[in-house]
Amino acid sequence: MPESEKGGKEEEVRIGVYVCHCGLNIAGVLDCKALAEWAAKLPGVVVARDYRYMCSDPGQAMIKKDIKEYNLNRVVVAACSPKMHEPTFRRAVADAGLNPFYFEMANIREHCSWCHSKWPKEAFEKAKDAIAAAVAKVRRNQALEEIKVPVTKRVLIIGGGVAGISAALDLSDMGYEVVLVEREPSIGGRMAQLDKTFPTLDCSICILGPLMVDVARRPNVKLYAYSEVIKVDGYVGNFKVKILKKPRYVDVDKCNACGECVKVCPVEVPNEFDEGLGWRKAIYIPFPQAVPAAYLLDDKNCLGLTPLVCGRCMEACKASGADAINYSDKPEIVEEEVGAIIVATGYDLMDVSQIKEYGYGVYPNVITALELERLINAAGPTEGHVIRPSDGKTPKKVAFIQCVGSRDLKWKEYCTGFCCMYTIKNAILLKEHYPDIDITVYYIDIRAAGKGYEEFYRRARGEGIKFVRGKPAEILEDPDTRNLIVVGEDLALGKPIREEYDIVVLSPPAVPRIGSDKLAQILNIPTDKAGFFLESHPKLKPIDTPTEGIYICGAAHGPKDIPYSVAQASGAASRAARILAQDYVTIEPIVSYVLPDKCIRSINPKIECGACAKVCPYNAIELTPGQPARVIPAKCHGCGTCVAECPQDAIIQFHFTDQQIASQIIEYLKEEPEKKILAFTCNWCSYAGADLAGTSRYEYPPDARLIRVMCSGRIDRDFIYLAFRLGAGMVLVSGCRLSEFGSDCHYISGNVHAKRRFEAYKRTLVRAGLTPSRLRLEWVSAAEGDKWAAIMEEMAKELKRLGPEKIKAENEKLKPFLDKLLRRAWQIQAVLKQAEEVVERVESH
Amino acid sequence: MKYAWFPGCWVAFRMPYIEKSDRLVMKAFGIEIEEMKGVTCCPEAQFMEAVDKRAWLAMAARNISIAESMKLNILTPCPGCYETFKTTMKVLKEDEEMSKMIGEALQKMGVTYKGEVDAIHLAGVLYDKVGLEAIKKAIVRPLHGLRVAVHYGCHLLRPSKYLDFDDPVSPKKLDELVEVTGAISVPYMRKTMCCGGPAGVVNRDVGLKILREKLYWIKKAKVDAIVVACPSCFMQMDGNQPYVEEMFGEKYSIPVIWYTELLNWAMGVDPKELKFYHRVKIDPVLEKLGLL
Amino acid sequence: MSKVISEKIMDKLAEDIKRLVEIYDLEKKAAFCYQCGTCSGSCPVFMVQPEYNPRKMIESLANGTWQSFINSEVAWMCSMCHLCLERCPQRIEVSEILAEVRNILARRGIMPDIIAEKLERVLKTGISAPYSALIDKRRARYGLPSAPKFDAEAAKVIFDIFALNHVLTAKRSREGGEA
Repeated sequence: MPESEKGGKEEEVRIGVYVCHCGLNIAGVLDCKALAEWAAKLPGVVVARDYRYMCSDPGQAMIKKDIKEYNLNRVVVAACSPKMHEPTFRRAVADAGLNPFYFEMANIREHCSWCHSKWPKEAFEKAKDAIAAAVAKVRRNQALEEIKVPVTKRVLIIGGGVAGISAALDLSDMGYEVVLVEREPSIGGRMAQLDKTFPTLDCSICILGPLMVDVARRPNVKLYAYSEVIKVDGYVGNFKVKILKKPRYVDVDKCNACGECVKVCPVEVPNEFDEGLGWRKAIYIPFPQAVPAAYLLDDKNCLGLTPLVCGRCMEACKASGADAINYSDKPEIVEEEVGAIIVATGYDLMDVSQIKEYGYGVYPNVITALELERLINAAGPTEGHVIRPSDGKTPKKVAFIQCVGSRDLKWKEYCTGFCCMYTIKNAILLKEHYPDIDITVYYIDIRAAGKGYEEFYRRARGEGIKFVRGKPAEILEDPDTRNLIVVGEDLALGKPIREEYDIVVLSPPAVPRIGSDKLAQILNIPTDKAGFFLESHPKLKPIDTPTEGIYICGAAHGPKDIPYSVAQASGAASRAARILAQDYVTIEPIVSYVLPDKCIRSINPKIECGACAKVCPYNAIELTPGQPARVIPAKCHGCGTCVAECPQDAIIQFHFTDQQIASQIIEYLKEEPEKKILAFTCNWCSYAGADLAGTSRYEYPPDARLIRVMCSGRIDRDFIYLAFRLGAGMVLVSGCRLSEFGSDCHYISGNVHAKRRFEAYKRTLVRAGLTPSRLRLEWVSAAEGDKWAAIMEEMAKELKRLGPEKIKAENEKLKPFLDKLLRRAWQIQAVLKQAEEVVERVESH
Repeated sequence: MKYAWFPGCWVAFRMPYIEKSDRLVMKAFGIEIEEMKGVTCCPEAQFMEAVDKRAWLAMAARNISIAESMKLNILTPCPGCYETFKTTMKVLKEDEEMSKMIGEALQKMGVTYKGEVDAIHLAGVLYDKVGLEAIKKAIVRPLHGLRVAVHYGCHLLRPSKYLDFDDPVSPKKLDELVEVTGAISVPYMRKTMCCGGPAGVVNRDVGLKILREKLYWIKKAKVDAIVVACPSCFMQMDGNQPYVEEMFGEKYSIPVIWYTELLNWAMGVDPKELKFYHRVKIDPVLEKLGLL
Repeated sequence: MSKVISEKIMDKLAEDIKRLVEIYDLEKKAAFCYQCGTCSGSCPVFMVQPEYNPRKMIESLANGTWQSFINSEVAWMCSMCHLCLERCPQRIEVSEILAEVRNILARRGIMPDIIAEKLERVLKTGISAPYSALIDKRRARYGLPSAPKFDAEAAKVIFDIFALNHVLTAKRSREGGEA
């Protein structure tokens, strides 16, 4: 644990400053030599050079040489954006034996030379300030070591459908131990229920079956079927998982699936696997190809788990020689330790009986697509004969209705995505079974985007299946015949539809599996608006979750077809393997740390303050009663939201401490502060957006001085108060996009807290006399370079309009109020005091 | 329970038998009403909302303000008036611009709309305020075996964002009010479909064709009668049945009963006393109930 | 039923609808329509008279081709049953939007005779049904007190405030063959 911040021993700091020309990119606008000469005079700077290309080998060699020769213990490179070359220089510095966190960069290219070429003089001043601020910060930097956590080379996969099985096979192939937990008595998921798959018309269970058998027999796969994950603790590389094994009452190893028990069981209940269309006994095997190939006893419907009431299955099983039935089976909780977790829990279909217009659940001959699958399936309740539920007759005329509940603001806004294809498939299958059957598909749009899908649709039309654009408004039932009348508009003809059918098949929306919300809580991963598990980034990280080490794949992430599920499963396996392949996972040390003696919980154990934990998006803060709050470093992602939240200022964020940031503020506002815009930008979006403005060569006035934080949630109101107290002209707070559609925040919710705090402190300041336009909150994404430039332009104009005199006068008036507010910011007070001392010392020379 | 009584133009001026039947039921359950003075047509949406929405809202707001000055909620037997008032109340509450514009117009008339009272249809008062229990106690002559098709009409239920009588897709209050008499509310197709009344005003044939669809499905459900709670539906379904029969060459002759009429019968009132006018003769129903 | 409408009126109509579309952001609201056919499928009028198609009307508002349905009284066939509004999967307030369109048609005198008649009666008497002493006599026979006291003047004032007389004038002038 690094020593707590003491403010740095100024006298011992030996800084090397390097100003890069970057060819003419910087040198074309800024006098790099002059910058280096000026930097040499800064307190603590021992050597200052300028060079054409600092990132080149000779450039880096120069730094390494100076570190040795001049005994440097801090390095600043003024060049491009740290998002470009911070890793490069950190490595170079580390090579020379210096801790890489004793390195800082001043951005004088993207934020200066590239966008201020029209104002070379002012740009030069801005570059000077950037270097001075970097020097001020680096002086206070601490040596940090990357946190290493050991990795348990085992993986937990929750969900044994095709996605879970694929991921399990991949990881097993790679040599890792897999713990596969499946809630149902058998693995196989939805794919096991299907008859044939589109567009190849493969028999679903035939292609899935071998995979099911394979995954179960592998020595390095531990299969927990009929089990549920009930608790997950820990963090990447070190998850501790509690699994509840539900009682089967049948010993899986002893059961030989002879089926004698089924023959004698007196209880019949609807069969879940057949979507309630068929029957099973209380003791049953979910389907013939079930894995594990064993029976189980449904204790909810069993007459009563004791020979006093029934006991016939136990007798039959004893008689057959297997003696596998045990009524005293109890639920069991087991613990497993894993290094990574994959969520592959799949989907359910929404209950469309809620959509009264279609009469599902009331009219017997209106069925869902999954029910039709079970009817068509030769292993289904009717042995593959599609019959009308009302009278058992073979239907002659069938209608399929698409988008029943999907693409509908009243139900599910999204498109489920695979229903068009399975309807086409089911229609083709029906035609195969019953060549004279009359089929019409009613749709709004046909979505056939995958490989071979449009061709499959064409095939369906070629086989005489009719497609009518026009979603029926309702289904009526003739009470005498139980036939269905579909009512709507045929859009192509502009005529009313009124057609009678024997059966109508509905395509319901896919929704997250029941219990997904509970699982999301157990894993502490977010879900999206529809309840599906949420990925880290919709484009570039569609498999990761914000919690390191937990991955999602298959329909659990969002409705998708089999090829996409399998591909994503392999992706998840690969992402998990990244962790498992290493002995240690390194965590960047820019984590938060609670100063134990400053936390109010240890000062006054009666106070159960939990402000920090409340805002942490990763549940990374441990609150033990009577103990100070504790950040779990491996879970901390380094946003700093807790730091800004703590009313006691008891939390620090390594490499982004209050004092380090305050020192930058002080440095920036040393000269003519009323002419400057102090901008706090978040690393992932706003800072990158400002970079992009430079990369795109948008020209804007150089009034801004940027301070980089990891997240806008890090921005403490004390920074704002300090900025105005030191005479800043304007202050800009900028973070990732936040809108009515959601938050783009890299750390999930940092910007939400930034906004909340902003509104509060702006109110305070405006009431105290601050002109509102002097304090702004903006959301700038990494792609919005133009927006950044526009904001800079606007603020510069406003700054000019207000004028330095008015600003100075206002600041003067605010001084006593701000002093009062800053009194309790003890960390910033320490910096201010030292800054005074330094000034005195420098001036006394 | 005291309300400002707004019978509406159809009931007050054209269908006094509806008002009589309703008043009997109100008296039986202690629902007091006070006459609203100086009212106008609510006004009807078909020719006011469709001609000038703002004038429609202003005229309705003016009527509501009369009830406001009486400090009573509005009670109406007509779903058309119910919908007009409820829509006006919601729109003026939520749409600031509209509220301002209407307020200015009303000011020119010396009227202030405050939005302080509510509007309820009598069926709503019977179900929510009087309650099925109390009504059941008053049933002395249960109408056992009577199979009826309950038709809600459009404006008790839609637009559901403005109204609060019942669930728009699967309403049940009127069915339960009917069943408390002992009659059976028989499910039938197209139950929430419009009877075609207003469409028929503009185009007679269209109105009749729409009515035929309703009658076709009601007939299939094999009912003794249709029960309605809207004077316009009553006119359409009772008055225009013969024309549907003529146009389509089909026989219907399904009696149409007003819902409080049914309640009154069950509470012991002699049907003759109600002098309820029915174009489609209700004798078969009365015979079945032994009330002839 | 459809009467020919002069070009001059058509142009004015087009302007009005354009303004309506702007004011109420109708293009944006109607833009969410993905042409599923639920509204027309539910419409009792469309079912028996396909000439009246709420889906097409919304589409034409969204894409600026409203000329197709404003050149006749077809838009007045609506029964105002609001099923379209209730069922639209994109929450487009179909019946309300079309009522606004009828407002514009009315201003130009394009409305069915019966609607104009009813409007006129409310203007003259304040109520939509004819009233005379006979009404009260009939009510008395049913044991009812006299009909509620209505305010004919109030209706006139509202009609004035909202210039509804112009609506009736426009309608009458169309009857007379003038544009």
